[in-house]
Amino acid sequence: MTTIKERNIFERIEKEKILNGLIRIFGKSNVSDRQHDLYPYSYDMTEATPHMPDFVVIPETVNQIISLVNFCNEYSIPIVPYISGNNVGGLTIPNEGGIILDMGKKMNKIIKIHESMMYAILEPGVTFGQLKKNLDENHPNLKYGYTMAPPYASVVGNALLSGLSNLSGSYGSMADWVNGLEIILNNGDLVRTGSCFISKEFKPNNWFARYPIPDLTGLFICWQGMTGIVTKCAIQLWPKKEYNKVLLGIVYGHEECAEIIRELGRIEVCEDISAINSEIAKMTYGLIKPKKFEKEPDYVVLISISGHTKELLNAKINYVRKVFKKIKERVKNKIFLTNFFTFANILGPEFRMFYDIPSVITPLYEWDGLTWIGSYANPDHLGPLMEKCYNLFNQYGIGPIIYMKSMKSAHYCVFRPIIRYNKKKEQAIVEKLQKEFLKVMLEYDCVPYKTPVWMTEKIRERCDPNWIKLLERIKNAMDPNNIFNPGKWGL
Amino acid sequence: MSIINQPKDILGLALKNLLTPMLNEEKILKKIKNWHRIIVVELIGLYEITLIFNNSEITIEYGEKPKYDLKIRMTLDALIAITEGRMGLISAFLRRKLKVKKIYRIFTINKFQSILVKALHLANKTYVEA
Repeated sequence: MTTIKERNIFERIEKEKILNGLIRIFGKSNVSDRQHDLYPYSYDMTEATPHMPDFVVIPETVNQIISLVNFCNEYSIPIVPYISGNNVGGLTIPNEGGIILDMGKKMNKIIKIHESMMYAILEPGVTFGQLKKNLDENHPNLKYGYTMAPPYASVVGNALLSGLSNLSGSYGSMADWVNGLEIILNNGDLVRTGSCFISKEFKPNNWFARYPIPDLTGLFICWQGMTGIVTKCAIQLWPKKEYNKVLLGIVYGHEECAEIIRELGRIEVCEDISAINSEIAKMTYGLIKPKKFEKEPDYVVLISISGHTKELLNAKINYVRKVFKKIKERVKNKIFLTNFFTFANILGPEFRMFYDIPSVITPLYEWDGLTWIGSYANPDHLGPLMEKCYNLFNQYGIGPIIYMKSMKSAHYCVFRPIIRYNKKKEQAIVEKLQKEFLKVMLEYDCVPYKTPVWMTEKIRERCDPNWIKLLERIKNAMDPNNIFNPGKWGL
Repeated sequence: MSIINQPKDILGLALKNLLTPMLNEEKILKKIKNWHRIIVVELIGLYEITLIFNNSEITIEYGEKPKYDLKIRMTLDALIAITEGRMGLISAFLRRKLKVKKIYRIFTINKFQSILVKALHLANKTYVEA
């Protein structure tokens, strides 16, 4: 799909010298240039073009990474930060070779959980499962937002890439919850952004806010590791409410589903409003390419509500029911509201995975290929987006999965057609279908996130050219030798 | 041993999920051993599915077979309430959340509801809402 220019990293220094240099920094057991060690880092589950790295290193300390950055900067050797490789966008594929910096294996400490100011300082390798366990056991009054990603996915990775979660209905994307970062810059400087900047030395108790200083944190969020290496991240935690309820909307019609997402988002009582087309239920039962029967519902909507008291929770539930009833009276097609857990029990215990997150959503992993175009979208455009993308799925003979979520009181929403596929047999079709999806989504001004290289090329063709200029200026200023994850965003 | 086909619609799949554990029970197997009935279940507003009991085989099909022995129509609310044990089939009927066609087939109703209600209660024990 994309031609990446090859970079010969051995022009300025021999391979053997690089290997020896890396061993001096990390120790022999944390460095490899063997093909079978490198191979898993060369590809991911998406359609992104694979590319082998030249080395993989496993750091244990920040100082090791500083030494690495200084070394690579001298010889213009690319560094690709890697944690768990679960991003759906080819973001950790080393497009120009170089060194995979695998921070997932040994840089996985929960450094601090601050109860009263409600934040956690994490190393990049901390997983959702790890954080959840720690909070449930040691800080039961606090929670984080969890996503429909496996429990071994990285919290920091997700936050830096503006991931969504089961609290996004209220609190927006996880990038909004970053209080501060510790980063290694291209010249080896270690810098901290956010309120923690106020002290010269590291103090775990002052990472409580992102502002009110110039927002340098933003130079590292959604930059796909192109501006520096993040070694610590402070993320906001949220109070855990005692009383919780999950409702399930069963919906006929694209526009009806869109209306529910918009309206329930705006009333500000739901922590999470997520919708998915009903074929996913059949995929959960193991049907490979399920067809929808005429009378089957089109979508299901998961609605999470919580309250510090039972009265608060009940008041919220009643309000949701009231709003739902009003929507029902004005829309053309049928909609129903029921209790999620009871309905899930009728369907089968495996359906709990859609709520008990983080979890592996098994229908997504039917084969070895999984890809999507996740985007931020205007909630008013959801109806036509759903209809057009659904038709495209059917046109290409791929089992449809369309996922949507209301974000931050419906200020915007996430729209995401998802493709699970057999890489060997369906790669070519999937590449075509992805292009069609992108065309439709850009038509409605959707803004894709976690963009693979081929997608950024398309976006660059149509976006504000001055934005591209600014992007390039910042990248050149922060990484003149282009060692940090080169090739992403055409940089 | 009873055999159930693999339905292709959601409610059919759900019903198969509900009934499969029941088929390990001797009492249930005895009930349906020589039973030949066609029963339609409709979730009002959604759609109908047909259960065909034929000796020890149960087949679940999308849609309504024109010649049935019994048809039960219930609202989604009623299904949830019955599953949660807040309501029985009779109280659902009395509150008009459940309707029965060919209501005179008392024995068929009785046998079927004993299987279905037990299946729903059993399923609801798998996960208790916090």
